[in-house]
Amino acid sequence: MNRWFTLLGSAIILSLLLVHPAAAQDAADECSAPPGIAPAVYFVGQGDAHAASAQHARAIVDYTCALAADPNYAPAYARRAVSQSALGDADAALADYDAALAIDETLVEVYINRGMFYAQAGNFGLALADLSLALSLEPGNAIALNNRAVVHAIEGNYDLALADLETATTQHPDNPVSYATLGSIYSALAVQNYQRYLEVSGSDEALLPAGTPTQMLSAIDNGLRTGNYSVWLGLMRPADWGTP
Amino acid sequence: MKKNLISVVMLIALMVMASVVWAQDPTPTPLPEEPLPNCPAFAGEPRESRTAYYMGEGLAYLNNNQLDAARISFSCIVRVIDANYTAGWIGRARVYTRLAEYERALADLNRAVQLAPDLAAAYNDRGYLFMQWRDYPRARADFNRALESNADYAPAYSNLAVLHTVLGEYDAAIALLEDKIHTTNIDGILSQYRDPNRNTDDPILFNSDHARLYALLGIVYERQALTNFRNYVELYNGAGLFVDDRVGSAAGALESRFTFELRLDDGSWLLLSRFPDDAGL
Repeated sequence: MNRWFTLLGSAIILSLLLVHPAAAQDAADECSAPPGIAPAVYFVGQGDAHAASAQHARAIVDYTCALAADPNYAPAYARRAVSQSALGDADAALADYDAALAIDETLVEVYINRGMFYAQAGNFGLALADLSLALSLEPGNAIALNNRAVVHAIEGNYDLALADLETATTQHPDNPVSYATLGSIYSALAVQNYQRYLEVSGSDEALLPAGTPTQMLSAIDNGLRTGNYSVWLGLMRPADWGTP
Repeated sequence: MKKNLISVVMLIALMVMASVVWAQDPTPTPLPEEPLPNCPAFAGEPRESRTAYYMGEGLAYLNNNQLDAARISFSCIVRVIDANYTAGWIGRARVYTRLAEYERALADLNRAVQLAPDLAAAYNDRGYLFMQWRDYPRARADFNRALESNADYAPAYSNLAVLHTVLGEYDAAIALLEDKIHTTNIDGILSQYRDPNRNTDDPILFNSDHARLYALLGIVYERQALTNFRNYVELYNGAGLFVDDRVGSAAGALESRFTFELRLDDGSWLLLSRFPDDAGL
């Protein structure tokens, strides 16, 4: 029984302590930067680290701290928009993109990211507009070229996509992303051409040497790796005797 | 006679060489430099902005325990942006310490001390490193140097008290802690807090490092109690006498506490560093 009284007494004392805590002077402040450092850019650094670790909610807090230190700091809006978008808050993301560009309309990265945001939302016209704006500000930007090529490809404009990627691979031959997109576009073109073959030949059966388009792509890939070119030979045709 | 003389000369030469080697840091050869990091953020912006950015990034990675990323952030500061930025060296040393790459940590802290010879935090962090290394003489020297730079630097005197305790210098630890409890006026604040007539709506403000001095003092007294219990048990056991059950039980409880909760052989939990706030930013 005494034990219960002791426990009850302890609980009461503890609750009183919690109601009237002594406050530590150095209590952690969510937006406290070390003294002597530019806080806005410091918090953007913190936010970038959290965003890179996919801790977008934490990153948004950091970017908001940066904006508390400097309400006109466009890089903080620009980055917070990306994290808002990653968390699926489209309205907040768009508001932040717009806020960043209202402060500085020359931010190429913001046009690129907003373009990507529009493309993800299925608004390809606005996506192309933003990516083209990015390219008018920085003509050789490899990411903008790649992203615009992707949007062109989604719209079936493979020639425009290839043109952008040709520019990208010429100007940035070491950028791997463009080659991946280029491969995908050639795959799409392959599928499109096989489809056209079937339409023109008037047959639903795949008369390709290695089977379906997917099998054909696989056989080409295998041939490139092994040096076996037989899949190509299957595409050759003998001369038509009626030809002079 | 001649043979003896040669032996003596060789012995002296050997001792001189040994003393030279002994006096050197454990890292006599320069450490191989890591590859230069790629630091594209805010390229072209003022140096102060870029260091602030990478400090923020590095600290966030450090707090997330993403140590390799943190190392790159701090390397961006000290190797690409500003080699004279003391806090960058201290930050990278902190990463190396966590990675148990103590030689690299020491090299970075030596650089920080070189850049800011009056910065208490740099000495304190190096003392902290030596504590990890269990190089207590050099840890003591650094904590003392930190206090020479700033006698009120709480992390340094707290750490010095921990060092005294680890080495069994209980009287020195108690004297230091009691002096600081008095001079920081945390005892006065405690009296104020306990005053039944005080207005409880008014918050009591205090520095948590100062309040922590009481916790350290408690640990020192417990440790001293354990030492005394051990002395008693050792004498009784040696004489073949039975140890009093209650005293044995109290000794066992303390032994257990210092084995599990209050480990001093892994005293890093007790040591204080106020990086980056005191890192001379």
